[in-house]
Amino acid sequence: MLKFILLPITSIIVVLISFTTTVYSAEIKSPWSTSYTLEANGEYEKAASVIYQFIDRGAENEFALIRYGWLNYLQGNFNDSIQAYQRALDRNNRSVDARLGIALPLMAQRRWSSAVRYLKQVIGHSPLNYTAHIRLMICEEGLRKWETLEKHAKEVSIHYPTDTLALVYLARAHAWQGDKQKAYAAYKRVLVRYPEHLEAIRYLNP
Amino acid sequence: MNIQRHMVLMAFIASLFSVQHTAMAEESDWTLKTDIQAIYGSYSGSLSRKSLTGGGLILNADYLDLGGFSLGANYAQLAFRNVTNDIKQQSYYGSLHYNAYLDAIPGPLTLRLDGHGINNNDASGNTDNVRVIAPQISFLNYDKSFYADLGYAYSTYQNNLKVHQFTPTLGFGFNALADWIRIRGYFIDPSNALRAQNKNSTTAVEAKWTHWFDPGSWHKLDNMQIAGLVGERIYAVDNDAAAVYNLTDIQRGSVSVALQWKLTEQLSLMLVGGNERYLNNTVSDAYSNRYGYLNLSTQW
Repeated sequence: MLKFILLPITSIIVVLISFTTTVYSAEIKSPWSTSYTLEANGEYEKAASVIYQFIDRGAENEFALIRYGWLNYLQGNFNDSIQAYQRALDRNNRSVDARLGIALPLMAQRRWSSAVRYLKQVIGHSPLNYTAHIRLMICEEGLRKWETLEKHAKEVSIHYPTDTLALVYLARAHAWQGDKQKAYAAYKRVLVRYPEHLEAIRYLNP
Repeated sequence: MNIQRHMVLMAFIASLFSVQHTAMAEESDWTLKTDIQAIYGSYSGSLSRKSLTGGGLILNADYLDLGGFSLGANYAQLAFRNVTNDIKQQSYYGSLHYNAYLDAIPGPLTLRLDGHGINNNDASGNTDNVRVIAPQISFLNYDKSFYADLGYAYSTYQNNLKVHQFTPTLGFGFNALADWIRIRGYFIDPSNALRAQNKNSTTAVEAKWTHWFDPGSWHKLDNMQIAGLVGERIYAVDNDAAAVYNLTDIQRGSVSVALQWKLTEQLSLMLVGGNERYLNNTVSDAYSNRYGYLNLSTQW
């Protein structure tokens, strides 16, 4: 008898617990969380639309703008991305994040000079900012400024001696200037840090 | 009073420094380039023309990747074999361009507007007081492997002549972009055939092959260009060279070879040698112009 009474009660409790958990989950599933999940699934447009409501209001509107810029960059909407990052910069002109961010769509549009402008501003604020230096080297390569790239890559390599990328750019700068010996030396240093580096292997074993 | 003047002077000097400082802060936003050019041409087989000598300067300024302007001035002197006085010519050039980046297409669209003004002492007035306006829209993809443009030029000459020119152009890169071929059509319609060697229209095709050399080559060349033109053209406007062919004769083909050295990151030198064939129908004068051209380009 007791068994017959306990079973429905237990079932009701389980259903109640389950319902409460679902409601609780729904309450804590913020638009931000949804946006991150959608981004992780590659649904960038939906991820951007979820947070679009925050770009003009709320305490996190600057963050929303930067995220909106990033998600539009991922979609290839480079002009919308630039506009969002620019609006973020208008709200906080000291933002390093927005400057690093705006450089990405500009670089995607091969607007190297415009990207250089923002990256140099970051380096002006934060002289050893690694991301800014790497992106700046990419721009210098795009502009085919091999002497500038050589000096820059050497400098970055001194500050980040374990870094492979700076050495790759140093090697490319030497190679494009026709200095094969220095390019060989730089690519050899690349292989010490990254033994499977295809570009270095191909250059050293033509 | 002296102290006050001194303070005003100091403030003025300080403001100059401030202006200079601001300019330095914005220095990277503008890219400036100057082209100094000189040309010498010798006419062969011509009844009247002897030589052409000229020189000029073009200043280009670009604001980041958005657009810019160019200003140029050129002086040329055309010498004759007979007693005809030399024609001394001054030409002026101005150009504006704007790059539009649209996400719908994989590369910038460039809108460009050129203007030319030419004055000389040509006694006939046929080549004097020439005005040209030339809009152009062009596209270059991000990979720099495909180019297309459509240019138009409207030229006005004295003695009842106006010239319409259309120049569709296609270009493409290959061999890992070490090579580039560009083909441009010249479709030119003079309004007055009597002023254009009895031609109501002329058609020509120009092809240019550019090859970029591997760095470290023994000759230190950055690139070489071979260009040729077939067909006929008269009163042509060359947007690339910022030049107006205000000669009254028909150009019937040309070949040229250009060699360019990149002396430093900012300095490059180009030497061009070429031959152009011309015809003056009125006096049955077929002749050619063998020329050499030098361009020294500095960027900062």
